[in-house]
Amino acid sequence: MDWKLPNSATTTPEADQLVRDVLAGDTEAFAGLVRLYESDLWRIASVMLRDRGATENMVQQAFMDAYAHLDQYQLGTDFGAWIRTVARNRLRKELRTASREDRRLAVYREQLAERLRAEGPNPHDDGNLYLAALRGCREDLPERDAALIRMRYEMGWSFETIASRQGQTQEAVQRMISRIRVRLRACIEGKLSTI
Amino acid sequence: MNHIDELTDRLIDGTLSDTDGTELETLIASDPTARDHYLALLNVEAALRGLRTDLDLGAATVRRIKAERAERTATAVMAEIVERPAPKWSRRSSSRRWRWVAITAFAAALLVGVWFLSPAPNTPAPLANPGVITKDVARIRTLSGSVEILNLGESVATSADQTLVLGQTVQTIGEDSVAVLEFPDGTRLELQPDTTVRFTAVGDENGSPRKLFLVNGQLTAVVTGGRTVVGTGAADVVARNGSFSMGTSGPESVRVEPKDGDVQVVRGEPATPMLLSPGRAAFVRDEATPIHIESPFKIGTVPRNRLDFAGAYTVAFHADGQEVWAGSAKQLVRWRIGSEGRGTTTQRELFTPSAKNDGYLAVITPDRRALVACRVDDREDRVVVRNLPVGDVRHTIPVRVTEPRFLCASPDASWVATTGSKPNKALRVWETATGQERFTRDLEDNCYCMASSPDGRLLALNPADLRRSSNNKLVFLNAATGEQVFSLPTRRVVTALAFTPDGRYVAAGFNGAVQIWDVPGRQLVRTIEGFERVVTCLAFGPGEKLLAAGTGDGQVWVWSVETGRRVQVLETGNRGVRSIAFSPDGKTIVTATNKAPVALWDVAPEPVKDPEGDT
Repeated sequence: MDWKLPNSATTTPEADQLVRDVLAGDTEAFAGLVRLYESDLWRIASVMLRDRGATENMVQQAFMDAYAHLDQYQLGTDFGAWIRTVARNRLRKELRTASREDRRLAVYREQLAERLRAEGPNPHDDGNLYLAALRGCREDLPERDAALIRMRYEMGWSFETIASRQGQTQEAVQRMISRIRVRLRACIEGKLSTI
Repeated sequence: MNHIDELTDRLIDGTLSDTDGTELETLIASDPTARDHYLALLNVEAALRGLRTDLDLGAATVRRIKAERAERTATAVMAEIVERPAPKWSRRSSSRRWRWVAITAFAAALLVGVWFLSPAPNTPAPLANPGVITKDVARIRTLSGSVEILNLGESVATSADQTLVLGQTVQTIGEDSVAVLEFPDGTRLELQPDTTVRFTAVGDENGSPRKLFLVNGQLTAVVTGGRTVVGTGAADVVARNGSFSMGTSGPESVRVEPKDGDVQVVRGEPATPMLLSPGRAAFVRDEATPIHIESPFKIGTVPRNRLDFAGAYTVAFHADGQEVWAGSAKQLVRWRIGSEGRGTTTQRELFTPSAKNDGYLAVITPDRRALVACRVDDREDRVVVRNLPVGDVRHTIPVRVTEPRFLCASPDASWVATTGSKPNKALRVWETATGQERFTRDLEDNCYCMASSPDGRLLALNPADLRRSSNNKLVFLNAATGEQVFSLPTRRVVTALAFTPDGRYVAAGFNGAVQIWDVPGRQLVRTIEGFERVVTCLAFGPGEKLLAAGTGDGQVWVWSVETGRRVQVLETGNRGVRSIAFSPDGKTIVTATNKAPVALWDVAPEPVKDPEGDT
């Protein structure tokens, strides 16, 4: 099974052209940049462990930050790396304002802040190894568990919806997904420890 | 699964009780292994949430979800770009950029040198530990928009992380301005737009509290490190988890609702504290009226029935009351609920040409013969009027999708009105039969809602003057010509409107109040207050006996029109309520809420006794 890091491109001509268009006055072209990089930013924002609406809002704010400072992007470099840095800066701000929001997540957010501090502006990103490990672990899941993860995290369904589709109780679905999370944690730790 | 995993799971799933929470915190603090387990499980959860974009991109479903979300984000971002002032970009050449970087680095080095050589650095002190007395009463942690600090009436430079001292006043100026202040004990204060606070006491060694004063003598909040104390006010105050936020939307009222921990409500000098626990709420109308403490009241959280259609923008009952229609730009769902309201049969009509998502505006006309909706698929999209219940296109209105911000249709859909946002705020009214524009009227300010009178002759709207509440009025235009017929002085920014079916009364919703006006008599007949939330939609029940208001935080409040008493509060979730409708017999309400299922709720019988309890 291959779950090594993918190679990243170092230039982004398609994005560069859109940046040129926006800076030349074609504001609508910015929507193209949003479509290209929304998924990257979603992944960064999701670590805040807020609900989907708040995560989506943070992604939008990151794009607004990028738009406001678009002239600072150096054409001919990696726009993806640049906008991920913008998003991380937004995440840092969010972490500062959220630091006391939920004390039960305080330790986790401290760890997150520490991770962000340790990351340089390097475009070739943090977390890919972890995600690659997760991908490998998901492939090892039995079909029923994989389906539950798809419904919960890819489709974004509530426990209630999953329960009604599966003909099970909400509590049972919740318990199953809890167990899968714990199994994934053990699997990821195992994979990362062998690197 | 071990105990720390169980507790972390409950935290992730939002089912952690306070007792569990305390145990979780203790375990994390005392047991490094438990802490590691906790962190690792949260990391898995975070990575899984990122799945919605990262893995299995080959699956058609995930592609669709991703495209929809990206489109939603693109639409929201582009709408915000249109609203904001244009950024001042400069294109620097590479060599000039490096020259600028070098100059900055040199300046920074120079500043660092000066700082090291300075005998007494004049930088703000770090936040004190709890209990340590300092003259720094607070520190600005976040600011956006226009925030001003006044020292003896003189403006001083404002920056994030700035320390605020005794006697200084903080103002947030304008609708986009927000400041978050943090106190040494960790309490946070959020200043909403157009809020002014002065710091009047710094505390002492004996633990006397720090005090803040909302200018004009309306609100004093005292931060003690434990309990939050809130005084009389003309501001919205909501205390949550050791923080509280306030805004100045309601000119003369405040509602305090602690979500976690106790809050003391005090007023005037000498202060008379009144303890408020979660589940209770205090309502202060003005300085002369006693504080009203509401008894805990039951909030309905379980609907009778649900329909899985999170994108619905508009809902209506069929005339027989046994079917609910829910619509968006993409689809119409006919939900056969039956006489008991428990049916689950649905007929889903996906419109052609197909739309990628549910759009962002839609209304079913009161005669239930048309669905008017904005499509948001591409630049060529339009406002589309469809025949109900089939869903075929009746007319298409040539309005660019980024233009309409609010939409209103006459009861028979013979005309459609749209308003845009800055900089295109004009009201435009369209003849649906021909697609021709009836008239355009420039508006000085944004308009947040519109409504047609039941006979379709009047169009009511409120161009919102956010700077001066007293200027606000509900304007009635001749829907044929655009000429103003009359206006009603609401004195607040109207956020939702609903006429009674006979057109005699109109209900106007605000942030924290609903007014009911006698339209022919031009008189205010009732003001309902005490809920301090932004009203997003309104609906009268049959016979105009009940009035329901949806709020921006997912509640539906139902009142008796005759007495103004609260009959019921429904909790649909934490998202804004988009549309409400009563069943023809008035026994059921259907709600459409942002990102939540369409839900059917039993209407509670009107209580004989005042449900708002003691005063």
